[in-house]
This record gives sequence, structure tokens and C-alpha cells, in this order.
Amino acid sequence: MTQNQLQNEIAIIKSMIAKTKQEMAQSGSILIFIGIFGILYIAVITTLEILGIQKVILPTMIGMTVLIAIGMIMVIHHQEKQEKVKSYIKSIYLVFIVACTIPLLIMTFLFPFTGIYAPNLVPVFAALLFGTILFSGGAVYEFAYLHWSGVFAWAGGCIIPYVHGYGRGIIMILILLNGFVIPGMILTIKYKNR
Amino acid sequence: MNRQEILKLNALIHAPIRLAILSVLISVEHANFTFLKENIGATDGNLSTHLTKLEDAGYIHIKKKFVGKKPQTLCSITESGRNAFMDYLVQMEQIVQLKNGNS
Repeated sequence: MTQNQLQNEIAIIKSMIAKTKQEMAQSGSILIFIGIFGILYIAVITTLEILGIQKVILPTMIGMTVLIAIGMIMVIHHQEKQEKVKSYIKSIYLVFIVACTIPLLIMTFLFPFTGIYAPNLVPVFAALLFGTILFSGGAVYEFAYLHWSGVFAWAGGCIIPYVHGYGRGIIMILILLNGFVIPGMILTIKYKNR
Repeated sequence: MNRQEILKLNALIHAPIRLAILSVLISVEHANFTFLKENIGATDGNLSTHLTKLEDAGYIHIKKKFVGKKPQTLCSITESGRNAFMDYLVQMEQIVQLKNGNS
């Protein structure tokens, strides 16, 4: 093998890796979906609590959770159909998000039947989990804003115990806006312009 | 590994198009035919021929499916392909060292 051939082969490998990395830039559509429907979820449940319609709160929570889960599966499926390459890190991150969400669902829907349910802990737990998802998302998306969104969510989780009434809902909405909707829109614009 | 062995590179990977294919697939779960064609700059027939050779050698796996009414071909590297590619890189590194030693 000549020096020229060697250099050509190294150039091919570098070029392919660079092009693949560029294609793997992520759209933020999943983040936008989680953010918008998370905000809707909080808005609906908080409204029902303010109106004092306690009986429909749990069925509404269950119904909305199921609908959001189905919607997320559809968004992910649609995105995968359009992708030309699928990265390992993205697959792992999706599994990670599911793994973070399941404990929250267990706490929200199963714990009320166990006698150890503490409804005040749910938004705190949710904020801390969102922080974990966002902070690690900063590495997956290579987007430092998400690291800071994660820190913001963790801080929100620490503040929530000292806030009462619908102030908790407002903090959660801010976490979702800052952590999911805004960065999701930025990533989507970058993805379309790549 | 002696000089003769180092210089005897894997002929299957040595071809530029096949090297480019494996360079893409090594870092992803899968890539579709369109992406490979656009970035490697090969024609449909040429790319298909090289993909078939890699598949016959067990280096890649090809999956064909329909997305709606559109056919889609997805390619992914196998464990065997990954090992062969890594061995190829090691050999290239040794060739560089050999040439630097000779210069």
C-alpha cells in the first residue's frame, strides 16, 4: 500500500464519520411533545383541583397519561420513519426516558392504593426526574442548554416543597417550558437547517 | 505480525466504496440505502453490488421493509463486520508505523 493510498483511505474514513455525525443531529420534536403535553396535563389537573372536582382527577390523570404515551409512541415512530440513520445513543436515551418515567407513573397511580401515598411528593419527584432526563439529554444532543435546564429543574424540585397551591403547577410549567419546549424548538430549527 | 502479514490487508474492506460503507455503519445502529448512496457517491447498482459482497461475507446485515408504499433498505454492521473493520484499522496503523520506521 502506497502512502497516497493510505492517506486516501484515512480521508474516506474521516469523511464518512463526519457526514454520519452531521446526519445524526437530532430533531427536538420529542422534547416539544413532552413539554407541550406536560404543560397541558398540569394545566388540566390544576384547574380540576382549583374547581374542587376531586372525583374526576384520578381518571383524568390516567386518561391523559395513556393518551400522552400513545402520542409519544406515534411521534417516535414517525421520526424513525424519516431518519436516514439511527444512532445507538438515541436508542439508549429513549430507553432511559422510559426508565425515568415509569417510577413516576408507579408513584402517581399505584401508591395511592398502598397507604404510603404522599401527593405532595409527586411534583417534587417529577421535577427531579425531569432534571435527570434533561441533564443527560445535554450530552446526548450535545447541547449545553439542556444541562442548565436540568439544573433548573432540580432547583425547582427543591423549591416546590415550600410553595403551596397552584404555585407548584406554575413551577412545573416553567420547568417544562425551559427544559423541553424551548430547547426542543431550537434543536428542531437546527435540524432543519443542517 | 511481520511485514508481509501487515501489508496483506483485508481485500474485502480495502475497496474504497466498501471501506466507506463500513465507516458509516460502524458508528450507527443502521443507515438506509439513500443515505449511503448520497454520501458515498455511488450509483444504485454499484452500491448494491458492494453491499451484497459485504452481506455475503457476513459483515453487514440488510433488512428490506416498506414504509407506507415506499420500499426501504436498512443496513447495519454485524459483530463480525465490526471486528474485521477494527482489525483493518489496526493493520493501517501498523502500516503507518512501518512506513515511519522506514523513512
